[in-house]
Amino acid sequence: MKYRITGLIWTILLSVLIFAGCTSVETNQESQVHVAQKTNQATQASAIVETQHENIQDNQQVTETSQVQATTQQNNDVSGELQVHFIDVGQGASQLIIGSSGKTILIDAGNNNQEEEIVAYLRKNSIQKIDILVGTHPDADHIGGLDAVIDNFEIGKIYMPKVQSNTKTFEDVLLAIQRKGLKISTAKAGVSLDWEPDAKVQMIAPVREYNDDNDMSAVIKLTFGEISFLFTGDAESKSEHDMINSKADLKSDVLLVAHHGSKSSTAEAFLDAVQPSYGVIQVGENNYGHPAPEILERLNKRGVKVYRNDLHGDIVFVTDGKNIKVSHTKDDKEEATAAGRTQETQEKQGTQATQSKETTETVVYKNCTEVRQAGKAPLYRGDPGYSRKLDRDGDGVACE
Amino acid sequence: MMKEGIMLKGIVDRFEGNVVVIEIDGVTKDIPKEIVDSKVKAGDCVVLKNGKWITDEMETKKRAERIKGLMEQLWED
Repeated sequence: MKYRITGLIWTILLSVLIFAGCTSVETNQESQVHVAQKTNQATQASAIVETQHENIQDNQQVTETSQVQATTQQNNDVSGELQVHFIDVGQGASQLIIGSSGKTILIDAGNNNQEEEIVAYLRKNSIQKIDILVGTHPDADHIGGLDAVIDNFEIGKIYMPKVQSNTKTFEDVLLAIQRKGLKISTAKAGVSLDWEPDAKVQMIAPVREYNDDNDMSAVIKLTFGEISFLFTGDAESKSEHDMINSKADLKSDVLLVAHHGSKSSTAEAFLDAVQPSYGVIQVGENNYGHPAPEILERLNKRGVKVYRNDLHGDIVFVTDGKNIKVSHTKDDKEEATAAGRTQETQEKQGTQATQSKETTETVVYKNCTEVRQAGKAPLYRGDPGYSRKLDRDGDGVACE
Repeated sequence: MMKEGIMLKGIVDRFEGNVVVIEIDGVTKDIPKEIVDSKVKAGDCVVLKNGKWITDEMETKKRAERIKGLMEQLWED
């Protein structure tokens, strides 16, 4: 048994090393990297293995494994990595998913005025074909760039809810689809998307018809190994309520916080069902009060680590089905750096270097005694110094 | 006095709290709700008349029918 556990530790550490190594080549513009070990929620007999804080340094990257939980059960059948890009399109939304064999899904494409950026972003990532294109709902800040994507790339299937908009933006998307001789399939709850064999892509909303366009948003759950993502479009509390009642499994590690963090979405009951570790808010400068302070507070209280396009630029999640690694192109200057998630600011050219170094401070507590001595107990997930090592029961509260 | 032909026109994309997002010449603009007639809905073709955005019923009907026709051709289910 001892050998087995030792073997497991080595396997996991090795995979973390390989994982960090691969992606540092792939994403050269990232400034911060974070690797978290997925906690296995399987109820099967499991051996909990705690490792020492292992810092693996790779020039500008620091990765840390704070807690490892390995099951005796064989892992899933995933191979390689899955990438989820929350593209910075200002005030709008766009998510690019790249599967383990290179198949792609594009959900939304930002506003019309962002279409050149979207096309450039896809080209930069060597995308030639979008296998599944989804327009979550016909609002201009979501579908604006779809026509340019359709014009510039090979397109597989297209899904949109059957909702009409009368804008020129919507008409342009329809005309681009018509020019290419493509058809649209209705996005609705219960539709399974045929994509990579090692990933499950399921539509879980709209559950029914709504008068409100936002509630008609296609909501997609993506599962890869033990890691899942929930893409929510602009779904509001009515749709959220129906998703909960539909008994669909909403639990996801990464939640796209719906409607750019508007207070009309992300109800407490919905968060209870999703239980995300990460929340992404696709938001830019706007006159709508997005994201709403009460939603930020709601996420913060639950220890959800929040990434925002306005603060972090393009946000990319990479997973091997067990670990999640987050990278982003901008630094959040106001963000205090926590130890449980380690990060290091990349050397910047010019005068910004010193400034940005000063704003990054790291707090590391070896154990709960140190936390208590510092008068910081209990630590909530997201607090400086919180780490999974200090939170053995994994409830998001350390040293309670 | 503005004539009908040069009157500012738009199509309502959506409502965001106290803002009405109106697409004018293909570009979305944030318009305060106070200067938009209370009867205006998403999808309406609107015109700016005497400082207030109001629905152009005829234009809305015409446009809605055209888009509906296009949708019927493109949806496979």
